[in-house]
Amino acid sequence: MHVEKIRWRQNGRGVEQTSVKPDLVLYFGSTPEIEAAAAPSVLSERFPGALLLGCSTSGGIVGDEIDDRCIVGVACSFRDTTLRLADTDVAESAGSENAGRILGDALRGENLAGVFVLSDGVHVDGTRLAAGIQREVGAVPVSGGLAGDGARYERTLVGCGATARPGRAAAIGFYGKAVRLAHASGAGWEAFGPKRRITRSSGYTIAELDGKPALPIYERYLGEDAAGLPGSGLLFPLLIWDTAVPARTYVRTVLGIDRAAGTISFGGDVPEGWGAQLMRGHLDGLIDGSAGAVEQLLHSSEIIPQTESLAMMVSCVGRNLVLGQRTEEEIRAAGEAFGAGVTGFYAHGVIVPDAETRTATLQNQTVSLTLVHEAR
Amino acid sequence: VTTAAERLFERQLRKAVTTTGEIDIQRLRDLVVLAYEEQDRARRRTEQSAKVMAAELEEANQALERSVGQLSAQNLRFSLALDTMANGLALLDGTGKIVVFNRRECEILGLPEHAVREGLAYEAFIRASPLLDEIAIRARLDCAATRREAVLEQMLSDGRQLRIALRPTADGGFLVSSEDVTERNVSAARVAFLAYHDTLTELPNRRMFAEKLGQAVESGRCAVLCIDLDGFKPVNDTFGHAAGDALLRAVAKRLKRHIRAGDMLARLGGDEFAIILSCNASEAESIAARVTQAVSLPFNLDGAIARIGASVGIALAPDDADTADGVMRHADLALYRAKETGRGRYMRFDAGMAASQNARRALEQDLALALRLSQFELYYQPRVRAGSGEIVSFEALIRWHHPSRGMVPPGEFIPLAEESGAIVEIGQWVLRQACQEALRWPGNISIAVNVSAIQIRNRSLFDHVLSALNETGLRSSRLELEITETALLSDSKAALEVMRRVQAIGVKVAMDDFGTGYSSLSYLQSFPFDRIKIDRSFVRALGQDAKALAIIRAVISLCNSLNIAVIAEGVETRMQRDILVTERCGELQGFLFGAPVPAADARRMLGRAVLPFALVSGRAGSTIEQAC
Repeated sequence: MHVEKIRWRQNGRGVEQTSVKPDLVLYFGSTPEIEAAAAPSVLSERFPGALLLGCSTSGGIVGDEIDDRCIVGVACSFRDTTLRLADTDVAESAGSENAGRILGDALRGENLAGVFVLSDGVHVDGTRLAAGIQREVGAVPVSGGLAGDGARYERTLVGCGATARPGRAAAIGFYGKAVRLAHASGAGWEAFGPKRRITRSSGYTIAELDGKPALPIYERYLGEDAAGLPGSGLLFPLLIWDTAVPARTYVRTVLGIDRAAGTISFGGDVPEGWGAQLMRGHLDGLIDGSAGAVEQLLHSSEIIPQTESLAMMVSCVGRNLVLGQRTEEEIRAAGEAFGAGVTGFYAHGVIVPDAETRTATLQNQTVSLTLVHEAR
Repeated sequence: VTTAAERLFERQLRKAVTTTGEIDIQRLRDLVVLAYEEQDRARRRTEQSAKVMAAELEEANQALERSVGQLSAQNLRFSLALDTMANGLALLDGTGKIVVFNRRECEILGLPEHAVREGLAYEAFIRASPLLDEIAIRARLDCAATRREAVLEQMLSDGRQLRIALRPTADGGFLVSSEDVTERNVSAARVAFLAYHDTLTELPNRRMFAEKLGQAVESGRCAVLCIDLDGFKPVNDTFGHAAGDALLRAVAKRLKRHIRAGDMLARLGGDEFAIILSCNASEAESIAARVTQAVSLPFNLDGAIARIGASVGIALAPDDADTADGVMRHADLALYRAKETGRGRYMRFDAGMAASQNARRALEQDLALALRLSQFELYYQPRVRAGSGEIVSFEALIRWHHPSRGMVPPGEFIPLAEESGAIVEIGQWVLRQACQEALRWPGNISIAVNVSAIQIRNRSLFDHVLSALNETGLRSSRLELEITETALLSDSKAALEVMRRVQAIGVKVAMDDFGTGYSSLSYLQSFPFDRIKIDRSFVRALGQDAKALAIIRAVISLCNSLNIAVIAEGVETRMQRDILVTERCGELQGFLFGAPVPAADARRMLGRAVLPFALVSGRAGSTIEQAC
């Protein structure tokens, strides 16, 4: 297996040739840059025969750097691994599970070792999409993320083959006896303030916490940042738990608000009667969360030479919002561990296998790593 | 090793390098400033959230304090309520330790204050009571161990009775409440006693008697003695109700001596008692004899001596009847017969009694219809002036022509009519009929009508008299009412009142059968009689018993001096008539002058104006038959 960084921008020098003809090219860039640079067609010209998969983001990860101006990615060639790429359109959130099943069905096959999925980050219900794929591929690990556009939640792109467009989901399958995949994730958010109860909610929307309208509580905590809602809501994710099973907690991130109704919508379901507590991120905590994921991966996998691994890192945009210029600190540990093999992006949601059940779940405000390498 | 700040600056430096390799100071400045701004923003966010959190926690704290305040107020009310509860209460937690108990629980169990406290095991708690024995303690612990709801009744060593309710609580604990039910049990026992006993004598009452009789009849042979006191009413009337009550208690006490364990003596009401015996007929009769004997002995009522008697009716099961009702009815019949045939005696039921009872009932039924079927007729017996023999009045006497029985004697049906109350209506008819008939006679001839005690007691007699006079137009002075001594005795107040009222409108009142009853001379003083009728028994004895003459003489003399007219009834011989004339008796009545006859005959009699044997001479003696 061989991995090389790629990086270019519309007015730059263009895409450099790699030392080896790649089987797979992964790329990430801002929505305007991908469209302006006509990234899919440029890449298909440069790397004919390679499978192309990419998406929009507010910051692409390559090595130990974040680049929000260029299109970045990796070109990989595999020795004993075959790849298959599939895509489908997702017109609306309700079709998410079905889209997942189409992708899973297309990728299901002998020696399928893992699936990495990228999806529209505005119109897709990541939980249902992941469930749909998992249902089709069985116990095969599924990871990936929802495309980003900063904290705007307006227009995201998914690139597959020679095109990149909104309203799409695409996934790559890794096949063969040599290929190995490992997964890890971390968060580093800290729950704080009073423990509350979700006293009125429906689906993904909370109307009341402790009998009081939910939105004013958020506005109060955000202070000057309240004007930036719903984007600034990412600063305060919500930790929720079934009061009957308080040890199993879930993180929900703010996706939208209704000022008239005083309600807040989240990136996952928020059942009435559950416990809830606000979370906040500190610089060091978030960075430690990321480093912890790298640690996990190093401990759970065989020792791999840095140059011969692909480490796909998907982190939530909320983290970027908190970390600012120090976001790169978050990827530093991964860069040190996996060198040039690291790529990824800041996403609207992270899909990662649950540590206990191994089924794909959507996580908010999390950083995940999917490590791919081939056994000798 | 570099620090995060150094790495940040190096990244900023790298980003500020232009394509030509120079450092873009402006760009570097922007990045550094931005980093500071980010830092500031992060700090402000932290401060803001810390501030809001502190405010929220403060609010929560205040709410908590309010709750604590409310809770302690609630607690105060709760313990006040607990300590003023009528029941004792102890709450145990899941481990069997006391969480809460109230003062009343300590009072009930006699727990010394220093010996108990919250946190004590329930067993230790109840063992601190000096009033619970080992059995009671074990019962409570066993109940608590089963963890089921239970109710125990326990008696403390000081005799008090407790009702203990044990209820499991949702948290695995137990609630024990204790109620002192001593008073309640005593009251309940008293209520139960009263339901089955007579409060005056404390003997079993009719209800208990009926239940026991039912069992006795079912289980085999038994005898019932129905006892009725003779002469109780006069004692009650004369000495007052308190004395009457004392007498009943004394009778009960005496009767009790004559029954054995297992037999039952009951007071059925008024002066009626009854005994259930498990014995044969001869034993029952010997006990009945002892009972009549015992009651006939004088009673000392707080110094006053009262003499009464007892009549007893006996019936046996299964000999006389095989149901409780039957035996009771037959014993009653026997009692009735015992009373009828002289009182102060006992009578065993026999089949003849039932037959005569049935006959009586049939007669009762016929009697109820007789008035409507016009089966009654009035006969009239003349009454003459003693000296001249001229008819001065008639006594109206009722006759019942029964279609199948023929002529039913008044002695048979009048008591029946009195018992059923039909006498009131019959009496009204008699009054009207008699007045109507009298109207057809010459204006100087009066009519005497008998009235019964029941009519007097019914209080409508005056109205009936008035309406009979008004309807017929008979002059009131031509009507005389005859009242017996017993009628006066039964309700003297009512009798006096009705007498005064009828006399006020001109009607005369005579005392019938004088000398047969108590014949208290005080009646003559108390009641304003216009006339006294000397009973036929004295008249009959004239010429045979010197005492009879003496009595008649005394009565006539007394009445003359009191200005009360006198009439003698039952005059059948000339000798009797002569004596009575000699003794200056005003009027006479009897077969010598004429038997009771139908209205038409009476009218004919009037046509003759003077009856033959009224004459002082004996020349018309052979015409007695004619006159009757």
